[in-house]
Amino acid sequence: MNTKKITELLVELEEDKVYDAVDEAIAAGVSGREILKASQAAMATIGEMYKREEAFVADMMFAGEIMRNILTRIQPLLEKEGGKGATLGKAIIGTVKGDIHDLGKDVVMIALEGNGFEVIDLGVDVPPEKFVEALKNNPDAKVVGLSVFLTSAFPSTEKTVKAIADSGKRGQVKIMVGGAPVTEVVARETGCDYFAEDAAAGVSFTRSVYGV
Amino acid sequence: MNPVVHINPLDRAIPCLPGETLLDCIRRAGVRLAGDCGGRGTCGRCRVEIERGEADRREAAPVEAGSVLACGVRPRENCRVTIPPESLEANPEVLTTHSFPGVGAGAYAPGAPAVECRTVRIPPPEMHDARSDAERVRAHVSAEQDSPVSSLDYRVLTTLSTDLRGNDWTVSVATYRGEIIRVGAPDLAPLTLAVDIGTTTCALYLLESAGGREIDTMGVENPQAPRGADVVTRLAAAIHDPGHDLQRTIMEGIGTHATRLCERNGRRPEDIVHALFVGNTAMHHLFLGLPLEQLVNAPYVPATTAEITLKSRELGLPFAPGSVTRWLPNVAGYVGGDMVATLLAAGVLQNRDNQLYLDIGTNTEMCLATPERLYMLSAPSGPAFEGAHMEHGMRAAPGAIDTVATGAGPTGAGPTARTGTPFTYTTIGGGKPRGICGSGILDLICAAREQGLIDWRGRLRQGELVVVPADEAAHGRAITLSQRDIRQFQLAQGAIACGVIILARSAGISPEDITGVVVAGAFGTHINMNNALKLGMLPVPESTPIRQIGNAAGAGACLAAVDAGAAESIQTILEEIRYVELVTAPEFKTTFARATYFKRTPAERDTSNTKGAAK
Repeated sequence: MNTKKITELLVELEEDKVYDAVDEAIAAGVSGREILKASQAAMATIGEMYKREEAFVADMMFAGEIMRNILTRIQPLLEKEGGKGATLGKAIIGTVKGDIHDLGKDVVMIALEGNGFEVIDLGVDVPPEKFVEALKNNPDAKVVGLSVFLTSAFPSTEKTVKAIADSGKRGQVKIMVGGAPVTEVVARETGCDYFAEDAAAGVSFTRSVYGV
Repeated sequence: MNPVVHINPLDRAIPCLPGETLLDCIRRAGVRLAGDCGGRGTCGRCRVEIERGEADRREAAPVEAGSVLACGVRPRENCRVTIPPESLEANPEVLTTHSFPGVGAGAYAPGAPAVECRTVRIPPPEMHDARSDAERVRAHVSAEQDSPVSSLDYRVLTTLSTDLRGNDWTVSVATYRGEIIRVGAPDLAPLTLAVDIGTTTCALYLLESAGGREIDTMGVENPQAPRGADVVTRLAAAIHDPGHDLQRTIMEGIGTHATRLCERNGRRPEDIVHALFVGNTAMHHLFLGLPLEQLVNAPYVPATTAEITLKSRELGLPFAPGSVTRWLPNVAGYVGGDMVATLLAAGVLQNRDNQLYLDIGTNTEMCLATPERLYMLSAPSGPAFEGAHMEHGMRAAPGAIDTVATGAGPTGAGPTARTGTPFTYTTIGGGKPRGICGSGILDLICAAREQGLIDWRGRLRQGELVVVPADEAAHGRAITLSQRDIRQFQLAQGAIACGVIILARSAGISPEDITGVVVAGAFGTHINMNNALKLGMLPVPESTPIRQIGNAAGAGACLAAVDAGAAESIQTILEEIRYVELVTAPEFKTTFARATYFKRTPAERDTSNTKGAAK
């Protein structure tokens, strides 16, 4: 059975049909890993379309939701096949304290997941300590993504970077920052390693950190 | 020597203040140069042409050859500047009408008026009755009224003795909650002012305090609007730019407009004894000079939500010296007294069998009234309906395309013109089109969906939609709808539809159980709600009855301003409200994403869409 149909249906956001196709594939004995690969291919395509403005933010969010539902369906298979389906790496992301905008952060999260990374989403209005704690609990995470939409939350971005440094974890991770008012200069002044201009840039940075 | 800015074609010369931007300079001269972003250079509306003269430019300020954004340049020498017509703010159409025939007609003359007014003859003092003037008035008015009088306002006292004697002891007396707030000549009946302060516009209603008859109304732009079109920009301007005192701006504006409103009816602002204001929490805080920092930062806490009553003189308003100014209580977050007033006018307590009340705007306030509770939330629908962030979007002003339908009309006849496109349209004022306002965008997308030009996901089948060819438009440029414009609309639709779904879920019902929709506000009055139903902006059955009630916030403010009994209804409304946080609802994102899509046509549901729509 060909998993191409799953990719096509997911790209078209045909929610019900894609679930049917996944169920069919499972019934036909297709491996969880194959289905995962087909879904990730679709997510990558949607990410590309988003970059070209052919897809928009709701498409990304919706695709992410369908993707999560597919994962739930194939989770038992993946576990039987061993491992979670081999993620490429792990990133911790969140919107910094004092800011509750989540759209940009979510798009990055979906793009990372779609590209095969595991994402620990800390949510919005995240205090510096929570980033530090997440780093302690996830020593294998090599990337931290900070989302900031309000200029008034720039100081809080700086504090987060500082808290990570004070905890002794700064050497363990690369920190990227993104959001509408963020620039190279802001990234540098707040002590981040990288300014992610958009979700795709965030993905390529994460890829480069993991060397994949 | 500061540079001087000459403005074509107004033939004005304005000296620049040191370091001033061209935008501030032009605006200071009273020219209504457009701008929605508070001078950040992001909205692109303050475009002007500098014909002569050097100016310092902010990076990326130039938009097109020869033209710049006025907010991004500071004149270095004398300049000559041309302001193209589209960069001038049109006079906004302000809705002061509503569909409550009783309100303002005096027909609902309350049993217990908010302000008690009567003309009384006070017995003059004699040797055997040498009580003070104040006690004499207090006792006499107390005896005549149902409610006792306990005191007289201090400023009333300062003129009382001369007022009594000057009017030969026959005076008009106004009492508010046991205090005499004005004593005046018997022929000058006390006035009440009700004001709905919107982020964009203000609606003023002048009423007779006794009986509540509406004398006149006036709609004006919110004088703070040039400092930011939306609440967030406005608040940021207030916090970060203390050079512009936004409280003073609104106070002076209201004072001036109220004075004009009185004077054109042969009255004086000093006859206003009672003013009642409603507005969202941001307008409330900016008006009253309350602290803003905690309101703009998460978790967005208002300084107060309680009703506020104070003397108008404390705010510098030019009303009767003893007069009272009130603000209706706010609900929560940014949902303010305007929504309370809307619900009051719409009779929410009498009509709550799963009725949905909506006020569509940059934030769309909605209330689902069930027999148990009033569930309320605020959905961030964005400025798409005001035409912002749309390539050819504009506010509902003359020249705006306000309705669009499928098909060609008669050539150039009346407001409808054949365009050589698959659409017919009308414009506000009937003149040549300059852009599209929110109601036109809704119609246009609906018509384009009917013709299969946009798919359920909002994708344009090709390029962009030409609504009006260049030669037919007022400015000689084609008026179009782009893919990005549709996306803006989808985000607005998604926020509203998702709000309705989550509100229904909070109330334990399904959107299908909603038995009626009441739409208030200026935008809600002008849009074709059937199209909103067709697209899926309102996820209720298409047969659901919809009532469009106009400026219900204004009507509610009038009711609350003249009827003492309204206070009780307002209290009940506030007690019954359950405020639902939309964006933190766990199912918000996925519900929102799905809600941005248009209702599928049967054909779109049937065909397997894997062939793909647009490339």
